Amino acid sequence: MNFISSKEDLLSAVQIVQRAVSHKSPLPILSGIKFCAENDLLIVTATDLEIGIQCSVQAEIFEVGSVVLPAKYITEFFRRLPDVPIFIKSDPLTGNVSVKYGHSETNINGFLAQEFPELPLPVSEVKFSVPEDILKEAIRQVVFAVAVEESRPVFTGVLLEINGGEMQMAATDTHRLAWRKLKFDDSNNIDINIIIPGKTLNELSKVIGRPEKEVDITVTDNQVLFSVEDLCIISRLISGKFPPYRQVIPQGRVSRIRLITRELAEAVERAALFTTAGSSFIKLLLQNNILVVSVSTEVGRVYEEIPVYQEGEPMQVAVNTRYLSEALKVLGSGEINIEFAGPLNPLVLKPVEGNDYLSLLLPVRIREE
Amino acid sequence: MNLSINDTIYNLLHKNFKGSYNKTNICSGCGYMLRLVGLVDINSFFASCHQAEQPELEGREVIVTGNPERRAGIVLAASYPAKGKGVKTGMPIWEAKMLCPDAHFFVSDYPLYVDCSARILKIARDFTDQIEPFSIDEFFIEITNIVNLWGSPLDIAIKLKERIRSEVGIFCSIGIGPNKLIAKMAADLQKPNGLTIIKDLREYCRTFYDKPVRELFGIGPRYERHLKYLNIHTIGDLANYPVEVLKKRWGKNGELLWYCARGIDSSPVLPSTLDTSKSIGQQRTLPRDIKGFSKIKVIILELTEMVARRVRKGNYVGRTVYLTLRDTQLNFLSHSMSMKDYSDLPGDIYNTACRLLGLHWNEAWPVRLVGVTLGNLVKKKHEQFDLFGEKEQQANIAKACDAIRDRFGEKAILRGVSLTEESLYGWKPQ
Repeated sequence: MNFISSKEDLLSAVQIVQRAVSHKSPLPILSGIKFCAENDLLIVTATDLEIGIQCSVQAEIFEVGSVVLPAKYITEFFRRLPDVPIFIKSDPLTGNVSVKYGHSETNINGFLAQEFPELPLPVSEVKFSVPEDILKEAIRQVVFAVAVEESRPVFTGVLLEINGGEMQMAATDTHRLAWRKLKFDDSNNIDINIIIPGKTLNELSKVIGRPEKEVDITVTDNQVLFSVEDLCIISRLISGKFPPYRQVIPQGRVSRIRLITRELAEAVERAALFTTAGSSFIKLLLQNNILVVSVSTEVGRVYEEIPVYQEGEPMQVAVNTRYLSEALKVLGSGEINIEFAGPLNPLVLKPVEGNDYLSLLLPVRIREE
Repeated sequence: MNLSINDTIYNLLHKNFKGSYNKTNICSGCGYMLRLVGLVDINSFFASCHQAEQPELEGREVIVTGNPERRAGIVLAASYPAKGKGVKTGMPIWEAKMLCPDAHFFVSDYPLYVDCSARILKIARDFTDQIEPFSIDEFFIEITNIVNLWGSPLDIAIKLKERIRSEVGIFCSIGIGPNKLIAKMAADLQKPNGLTIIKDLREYCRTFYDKPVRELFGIGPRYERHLKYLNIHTIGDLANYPVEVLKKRWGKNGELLWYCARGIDSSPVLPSTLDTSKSIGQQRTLPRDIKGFSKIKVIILELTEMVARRVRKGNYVGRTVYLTLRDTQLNFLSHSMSMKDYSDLPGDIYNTACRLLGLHWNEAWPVRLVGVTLGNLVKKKHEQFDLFGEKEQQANIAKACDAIRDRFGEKAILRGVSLTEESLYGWKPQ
């Protein structure tokens, strides 16, 4: 392998793919990034066997070939290179790579590329496209609700459902739930129901977002491929059945309030400072068009009144501070509707405009001393 | 020699000290009230309890052991005459029998000890409510405020000793000092049936600075070894050591040790210190060694059930799970893992304990002792609901089991695994 490229191109490619590098894998080769030179393109790949990221950059290729370089050193090294043409040449027998820049040369001991697992590019009929910025926003609104713990794998993923010209995403960690509906141009009559790991969507949302571009999505039985111009992310799907989440969305309501999102979010954040490890909840008391946010712990007491537009009965609930705060952050709307179905039933948070997003939050039961 | 340096500190703490105690604990120099704390330590407590129950055994060799049928056949406590013959805590029964063939052996009887301890504490509470139980056989008593009520510190100590002696039938050692640390160390000076008063830091320095550093409260064999490398052999060496070096080596603990060596301790006597638990745990020495994860998990599940029940009974929730395993070579392994949320349900604790088992234990190692502890406890103030009602279901099951056990006894409802061979309940002594 022998090619010339620029620092900027190399660094941006390496920085994107290194997110997939596995630092804990028992396979040493997976701690590396694969560089493959062919047809005027340099293809950079990393994988931890759960997720794989591949990025291609323009380069002037003199000799095709491939090599794997340790991710830990190569990212930091490229970052520190001067802004001059970079000549990279590898020895196909030993995997040794020489990097020349200006009058300098650095040699890095790499691995032979044969050991690196081939990314299985999925081939499937199920293909569709979604605008980048819309998908990015939808991921942001949903992915915060996935579970961190790995004891129940389906809860660490986001459900993606497409049927009847609608695309729906849902995520839950059993204490809260986020749901988003997207319009979908259904020319291929697609009908899928898959669970994508939350980590994959997080990585995807970091590299997309350009307006008027689209992400192409290919789905097979156990894999999903996201591709944009020069980049693709392949991920395993989570097998298992997503819980019947529609059943837990309350149909009726006892009361509903409308208020300014920012006012509630700021009050909750102030109150959150005073919650302690054992009591991480705040109380919400609704009456006479006032929502009272209050906290009382060993540290101190917070009492805030927020004017709201109220429909229905007075209400008192207690909720986990972090859950409420995270849900408010991703709402993406200046005004919010909160629906209460009872002191022990889920709260439903919806933007005032539109009917394509909601998040659900289970209250806590307080033990009165 | 060390005295001069300590005098500086002393003067800092207590500027105009000139005189000594007069009848009360008012310093004749400056007129401030001096603090006085006592530590009451019951000598060879378990053995003393049996002697109190059978007064004819007083002055005899009494040895308390664990239950040999459960393979816990070691000496737990020995009376002073038996200790004189070389019997030590932790010794196997056969060895103790060789050293002391005529001794009176008792199998441990915890209800008796708890009863004795409670009676002794009740006597102490007649003097003051400022009592802090430190363990089953030790407690601190704040004397500062009762000096004029019951006489001089010496009078109080004598009265307390006499009442414990005549009403419970047990001897104790009392140490009195200007803080908890010095009181504790004073009590250890004279055993059994001792009474030591260290009235100020000056006397503390005189008494303790030449003693080996090991005798300082909080110094174990490990610290002793490390301190030796720093050429610290006596308590005085430690007190005069540059604190920066200790701080760099052990952080906050190093600084604390230095203060301890100088006899400085400002912790109050807290009567309510035992009202809230920090952790709840259960451990068992197994009747025979077991091998293999599936068998060990049976024991873990049963212990978890007991722990979770006690946690719920105290209205706590906890987050950190500790798993203790000991193999036949008496190697001790204890590891902990924190859960995502606070919990009082056996399922959560069990899953975490099993992850610890998989991480730190080998299938092929035999296990002799298993312990499960839930730490990081806080009072349960709220319950988070979940969407699909799974937690609630588990909580309801636990609640129902608690109700059954409250009414019909602990063994009224058990897990299915308790019918297997490994079960703690299934095994019966031959």
